[in-house]
Amino acid sequence: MTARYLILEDGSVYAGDGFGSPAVTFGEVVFNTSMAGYQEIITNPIYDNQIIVFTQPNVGNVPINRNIYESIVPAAKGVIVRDLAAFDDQHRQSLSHYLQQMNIPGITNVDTRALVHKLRSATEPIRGSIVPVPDDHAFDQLHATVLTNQQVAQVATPKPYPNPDVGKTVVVVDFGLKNGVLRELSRRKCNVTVLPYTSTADEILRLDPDGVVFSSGPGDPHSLKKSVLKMIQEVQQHVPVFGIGLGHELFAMANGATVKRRPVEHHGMNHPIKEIITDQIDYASQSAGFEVDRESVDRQKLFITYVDLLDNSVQGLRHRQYPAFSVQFFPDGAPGPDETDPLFDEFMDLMNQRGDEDFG
Amino acid sequence: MADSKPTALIIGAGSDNLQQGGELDYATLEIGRTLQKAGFETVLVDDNPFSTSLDTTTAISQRYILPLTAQSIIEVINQRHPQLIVPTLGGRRAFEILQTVGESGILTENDIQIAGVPEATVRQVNNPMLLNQTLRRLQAPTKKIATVDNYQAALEMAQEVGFPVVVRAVFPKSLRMRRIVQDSEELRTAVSRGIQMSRSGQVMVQQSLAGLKEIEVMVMRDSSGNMMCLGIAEDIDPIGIHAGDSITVLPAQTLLDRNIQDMRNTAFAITRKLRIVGINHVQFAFDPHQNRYYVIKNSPYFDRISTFTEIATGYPVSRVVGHLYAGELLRNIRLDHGLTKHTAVTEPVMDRTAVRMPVFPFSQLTVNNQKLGTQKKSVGSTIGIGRSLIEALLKANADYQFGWHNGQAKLMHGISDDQLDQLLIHPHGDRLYSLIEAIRRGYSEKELAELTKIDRYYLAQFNRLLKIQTEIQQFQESPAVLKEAKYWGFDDGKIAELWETSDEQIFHLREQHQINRTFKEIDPSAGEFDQHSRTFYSTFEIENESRPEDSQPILVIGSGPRRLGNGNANDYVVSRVMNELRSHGYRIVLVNDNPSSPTMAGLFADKRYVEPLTNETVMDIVRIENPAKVMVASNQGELLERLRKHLPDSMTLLTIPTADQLEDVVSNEPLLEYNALFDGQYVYPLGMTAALQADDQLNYRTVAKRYPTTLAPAAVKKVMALGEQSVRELTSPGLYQVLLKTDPLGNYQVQMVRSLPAPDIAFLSKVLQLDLSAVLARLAINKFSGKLLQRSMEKQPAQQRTAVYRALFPFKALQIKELPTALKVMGAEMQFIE
Repeated sequence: MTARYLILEDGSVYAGDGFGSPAVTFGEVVFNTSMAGYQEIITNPIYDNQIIVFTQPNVGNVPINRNIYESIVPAAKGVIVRDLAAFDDQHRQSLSHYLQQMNIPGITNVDTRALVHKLRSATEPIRGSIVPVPDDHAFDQLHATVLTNQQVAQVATPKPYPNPDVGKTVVVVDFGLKNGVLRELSRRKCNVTVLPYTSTADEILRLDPDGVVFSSGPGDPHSLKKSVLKMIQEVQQHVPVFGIGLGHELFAMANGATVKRRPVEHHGMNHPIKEIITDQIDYASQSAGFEVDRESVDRQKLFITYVDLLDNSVQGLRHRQYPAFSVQFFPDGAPGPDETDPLFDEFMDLMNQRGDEDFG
Repeated sequence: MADSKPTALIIGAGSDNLQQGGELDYATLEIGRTLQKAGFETVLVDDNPFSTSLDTTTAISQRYILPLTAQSIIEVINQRHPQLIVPTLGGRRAFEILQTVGESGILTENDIQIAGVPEATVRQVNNPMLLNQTLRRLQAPTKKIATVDNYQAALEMAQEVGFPVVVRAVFPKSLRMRRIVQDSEELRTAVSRGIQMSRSGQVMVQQSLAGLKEIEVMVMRDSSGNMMCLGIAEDIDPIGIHAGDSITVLPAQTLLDRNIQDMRNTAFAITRKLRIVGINHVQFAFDPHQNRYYVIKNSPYFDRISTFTEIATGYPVSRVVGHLYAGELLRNIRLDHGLTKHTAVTEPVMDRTAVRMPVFPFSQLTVNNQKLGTQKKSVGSTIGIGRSLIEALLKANADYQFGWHNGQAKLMHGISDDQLDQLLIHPHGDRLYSLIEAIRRGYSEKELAELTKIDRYYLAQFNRLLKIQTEIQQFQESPAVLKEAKYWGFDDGKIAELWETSDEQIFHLREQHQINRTFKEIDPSAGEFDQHSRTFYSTFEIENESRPEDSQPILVIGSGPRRLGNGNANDYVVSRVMNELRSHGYRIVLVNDNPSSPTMAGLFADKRYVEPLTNETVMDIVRIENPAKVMVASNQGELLERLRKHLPDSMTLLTIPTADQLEDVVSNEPLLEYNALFDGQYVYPLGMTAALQADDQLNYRTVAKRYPTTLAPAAVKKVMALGEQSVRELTSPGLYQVLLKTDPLGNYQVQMVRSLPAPDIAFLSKVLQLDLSAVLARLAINKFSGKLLQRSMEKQPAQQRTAVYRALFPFKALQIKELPTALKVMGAEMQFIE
């Protein structure tokens, strides 16, 4: 293995050994504390423009598995680990080989704990670059690089596509969808059409869906056009709506709340999340750089359903008037606990009730 | 009564044995302390003289040294009127005792709550049939079993679950029959034989889970039904080797997230159904090829994995359970010691790897059958924590006494290929070395995976380990290779061996090239939050997190993994010494590598290092901590010798008497032990003990004894005088024992004068109600006062109670026959006789 470096905007350098692609990349550096599920994490489109640091030191222990991808083409800009599993580099299913094919660089043998200590105390996202030589030129490039804020456009589908089944008709609006959501809808026999995030309310409602899902996705919700919020405002008046991740943030904004950047992004699955109505605590996969500003939630329109006990962040909202709700975390897991998976059943219930009303 | 404190009664674990030991003592200390802080009066019933909990009043308010029977528990209930009874700290037996106690009606009559489990669950724990019914109702996957009376039905079953299957005779006439069959022909023979042997003409055909992965999920639940997963441990060894003899890794390394979530869901469902409050261990057999898993065991009580998880994750498992027993909910528990507000309800995540390595008694006993199987053979364990699997594994094997250094790897070079094949198919305690040897001889990872059922990930790591070792050997004295070797966890001793030099030389070379150890804190959030467990491990990276503090501490080096001989009595003495030193205001820093040791409990040390007990780690810790004194458990002979050479003169090196190289004293004449304290000036007698005659032989051994002796006053006087004289001749202060033999004429002869052995310190402390370890500690810091000692001796009740001590041995459990000598003691029990 050859030496590779992660350099950060503040001038710091983390040395290690390169694996995967030899490409030079730029991205925000974030850390994930999950202890398993590296493949699902790397292939989650939420990591567009980001370099992922795994706190679990041994990564790649299980070969790449054909049926657990969260997207076909991963959007991450780099993978930093402490100890890459010792498979033969050319092993067709090794993480290194996979990243090579996907043109993503990785660095192993990095003091990831020291790196996390830096990242956790930052007040804004730290940008970094994976380079072969940490010289002035590399830093100049890093400082000169402007990361796009059009991440959703990079990862979301430009064209509609169907995922047919025999049950409820669901439109999924793709902001950077991870496969977990489709998996959960398939499990419930939903007849799904995935639409681009630029779709208008008319285009969505024309398909006469029983319900609409606003998917998770990467980046800042403010970087999307205002028309998206208009679309949500319109759609929620007609059919049951379920927002996840970025979809949740947009749902909140469409209903008057503001969304703010978190000082440090949170990626993991171990925080206690309290469901306010039942007082139960659940654990779920979380990946968030933004959060809904609690003070901004218009209590006439929305109420808060879930709260993260560790940082007190809003983790779920429900509309008072419409059959519409959203969560910041990922109830589809992949990777992560299944405890909040019944939220998909709740969505099904809303669609079923809706059906009854129509006929009643 | 209304304003008096509520009482919690803890059923103790009894003598240490092959299945359990210090880990229950550790958990009892933490839970007792937490319950006390929550306003409970804690009462412990136990008969283990080596129990630290029994003597620690900051955890246990009142102790009862009684045999562990339902009768004793009922007696104590009638005396103490507890509100709460805790069965989860005494292993399986406590559940059996509790069931009998419950059947007497005393619990319902007095409205006594059972901590941790409802009464119905106590019955389920005691009765596997009941538990199986529950599991089936939950649709939790369990192994398939069918009772059949003909070959065709047996074959159908075997085809359904796949070969191999296990065939057993139902209600066997004479011998029990259990056979593993591989194909239909073998099945035909086994079924017809089994039917013949069965009184009912039936055989049981069971799915065999041998060779599958063994996974353990630890669940925590509170009384409101909130559940969390504390950890998922994976055994490197497959099912078929007892979990306690397996090399265990935390967290699990070779599972897909999907597998983890499936097992988590099942573990949660079982824990919910059994309405457990506190900890539950659910063990699974996992078949990665078929993507199937089976529940094989459910144990809602503390065991070796509880404390291993606690140390490895930094999540204070036992303290949180204490809070739950006191009636709190996970979300409301506030942990002190630098942990964040909601740590109790946050699932621990690790940025490190922990390996638990079993320690076998084969160098201490003649065990002909050293094959690992479903019967446990190991007596102790070490923990190694590192930033890679290899580092953790090497650290768990670094002990001077049995690890990497005793030439096992070299010995393997000499064996034939056939012998090696046998070792791979029927692994022994040294399988790590046989695997590495097989890789050295060119076995592919694929072949080895088929042969051993060990996941390829681990085999790839062993392969890598071997490559690094070869590289070290090739590039003698290369600083770059040295750096690499240290990064992967090779200790100085091993590198020295490969470079044919001394480890001192390696140490110097490291100094010269600035290859420095960095210490990382074990926090339960993988660095996400700024929180502190004050427990550290080392690695060789860029950031060091361990800082010296203002006051100079006392550095205590623990006694390491449990071995035969003194067993947990060593831990007893070390923890009690720490306790005393701490009460004098010293800051205590501990180094230990035994994940079951009560010394690791929060109430004895201000700071802990989970590190191998080797010269290099201790010296690096010394450099950071700058201790005034270094106190070493005296069984760490090799380490002591080196520290004597290397410690700076400004630091006092002291030993804590825990030697396990006891001499075995046998005599056909009665043996007496005169025990005394010598402060350098005066001799303070601590009474006499008499060895008891073994039941089946005429000899006297020091493994069973009574206090006091039954000697006539005149004889006592004589012995006392002889004993005192012997002790007076000594030069250094300490606790001593003089062994005397009586000849047929009634004369006494001094046989030996020695430091009072740890088992005797533990036993006599309980008998005399005098903390002898505290005396040792006070001698060490020049705070000993003879007056104080005399005063507390005088406080004793005039009528001394007679106490009997009996050491216990693992011979039956290991299916061997040996003489019960002091070197082979596993544990002990004690009893007061009126």
